[in-house]
Amino acid sequence: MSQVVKVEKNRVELLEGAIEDYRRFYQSDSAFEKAMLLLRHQFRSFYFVDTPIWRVLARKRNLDKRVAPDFWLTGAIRSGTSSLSNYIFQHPSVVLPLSKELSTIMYQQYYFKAQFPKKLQVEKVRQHTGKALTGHATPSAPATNMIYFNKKLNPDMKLIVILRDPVERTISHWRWDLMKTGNLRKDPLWKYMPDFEQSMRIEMKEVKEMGCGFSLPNGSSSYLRHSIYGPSLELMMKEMGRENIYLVEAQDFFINTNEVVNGVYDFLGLPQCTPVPVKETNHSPPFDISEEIKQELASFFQPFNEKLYELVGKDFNW
Amino acid sequence: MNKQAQTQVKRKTDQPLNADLYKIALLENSVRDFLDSHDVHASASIFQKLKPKPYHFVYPSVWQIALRNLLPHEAMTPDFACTGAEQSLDDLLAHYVMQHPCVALPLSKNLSLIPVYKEKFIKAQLASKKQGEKISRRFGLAKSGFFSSIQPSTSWIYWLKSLNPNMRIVLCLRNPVDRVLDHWAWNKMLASEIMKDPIYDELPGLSATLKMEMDQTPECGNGMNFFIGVGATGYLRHSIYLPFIKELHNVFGSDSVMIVDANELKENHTEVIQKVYGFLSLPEYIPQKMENIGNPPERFRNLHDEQEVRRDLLDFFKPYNEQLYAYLETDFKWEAS
Repeated sequence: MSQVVKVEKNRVELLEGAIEDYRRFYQSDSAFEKAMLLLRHQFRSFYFVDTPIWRVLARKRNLDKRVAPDFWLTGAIRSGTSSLSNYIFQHPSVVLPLSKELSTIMYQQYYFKAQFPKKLQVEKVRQHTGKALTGHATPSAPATNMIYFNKKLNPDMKLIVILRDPVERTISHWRWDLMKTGNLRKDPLWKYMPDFEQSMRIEMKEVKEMGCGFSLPNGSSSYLRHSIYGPSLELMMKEMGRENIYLVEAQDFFINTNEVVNGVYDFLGLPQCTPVPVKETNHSPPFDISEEIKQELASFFQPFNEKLYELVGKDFNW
Repeated sequence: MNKQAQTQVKRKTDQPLNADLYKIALLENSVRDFLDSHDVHASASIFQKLKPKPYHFVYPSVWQIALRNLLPHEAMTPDFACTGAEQSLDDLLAHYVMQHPCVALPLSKNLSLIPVYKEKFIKAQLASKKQGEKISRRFGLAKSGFFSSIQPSTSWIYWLKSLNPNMRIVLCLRNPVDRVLDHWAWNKMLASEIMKDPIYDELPGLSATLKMEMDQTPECGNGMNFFIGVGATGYLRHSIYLPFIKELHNVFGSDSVMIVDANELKENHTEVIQKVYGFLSLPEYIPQKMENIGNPPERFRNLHDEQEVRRDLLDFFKPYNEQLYAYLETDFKWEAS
């Protein structure tokens, strides 16, 4: 593709601001600040997640004027989907959806479709940059239903699947839950809830025996099963076609950002563009973890990783 | 209920007492109301859901919980939990236990899941001390229970412990194949309106979903269940009982956990329920027969697919069942039924 396009600074700020506010809302102890953030949340032009329902309903009346998503960036929660989405969404040929993530609670076609831009907006961008796409970045793996919902939205949709070292992802998932449920955990209902190491040991035992694991508010079934990527990836390949799936290894993306992001742009057929670094705003809070439990987790995941390497024909050296 | 069929309760003093007919009628009507609400126009269904009731079979109105939360409502500490996986007949078990005159009724058999992760919201749905005192005065003893279907969620084991670390647990286990098929049909019934939406067009049917889960579950993949049950865990995983039981034993001790075979409960309810009453230290009482409750109506089933997948499911669950039999030293003979 010969055309070269340039990232707009205010687009990057918009993306960063959406995550920043979401984080502040969960971390703030001030009711006033929370109320102000909630008020601002009603009128954003781009959301990180949780679009207010009235915004969706307001867009419901012109669904036929809206386009279907061309791509879906996915993976398990805390795999780097938010960071990578900031690089994809900053591309001038990508028309922003209303929200980075589709709701994983509100399963209705209008709710999904209303998030995407109007044909007119897309056409305008196409005229300006030579290409126009839209999509979403919902990290729904390992849940399977979103695969079928996306297939319905667009059976030819392209998927970018980000896979992160399972041990790192699991730890990050726990830390993220701590941030989101920090205040909740002070409630007497949580007084016997095991800490990280205990929880992981219980889950390692349970998952092998096909048990459920801990179902907490953020990611409703087991920390460990979220890091076993093979089964959901296999289903995506079956339903959406292997040729429509582009795999990104998270560590590779964190280190060789420009190279990896350009690979994604090529896969989506986007015009050449030099990505602008995005502030890392979606990191998990710090948390001390022993080497011992890390080793136990690494041994636990090893056989699952080997099956994954075989499935994708690549060794990620996790 | 026929007055002649009134059941007798015996106090420790051997003085016979009538069963609480009002309560039994309340339990029976709650199920009827719930099933009716899925047979009527959507707006009427919303009305049913918002209607204030002293007892709901499934999820009470949020406003009722909020009100109980605002007004003085000192909850009794739950003495026990009666639970199981979705469609394990734990509903039937729960209503037999609730029917006992000494058991104070919670607001609902299945607690509302919306604000569930805080103790005060759970307690707002449990029986109050005031109810307990009234029952105590009348029958000499009052107990409170927790009745939601929480299996296989590990988190819930620890949340239960927070409610009362010394509680007794009665767990209902049902033939895994029957449970899976009813779980599917129940989900279909609850979501029948929602699933008319075109976004569900690509979702596989019963047999394809369960075959997909049979491939995915041993590889530790997730399943397909949603709307009811423990989210994104899969229909099949809800029928693999051993990991949950082991964790229950680990947290509460095996002496505090009683296992009830759902088949036996259905066929021989008086004997089974009296054992449960004994385990929960409830005074002797002959339970009034209750119809099987919470079973999905026929029209939500897919008999053709059920037939097709039943054999495969039996084979799938066989090794898990054998492990369970060995651990509990009980053969439930689910393969034969």
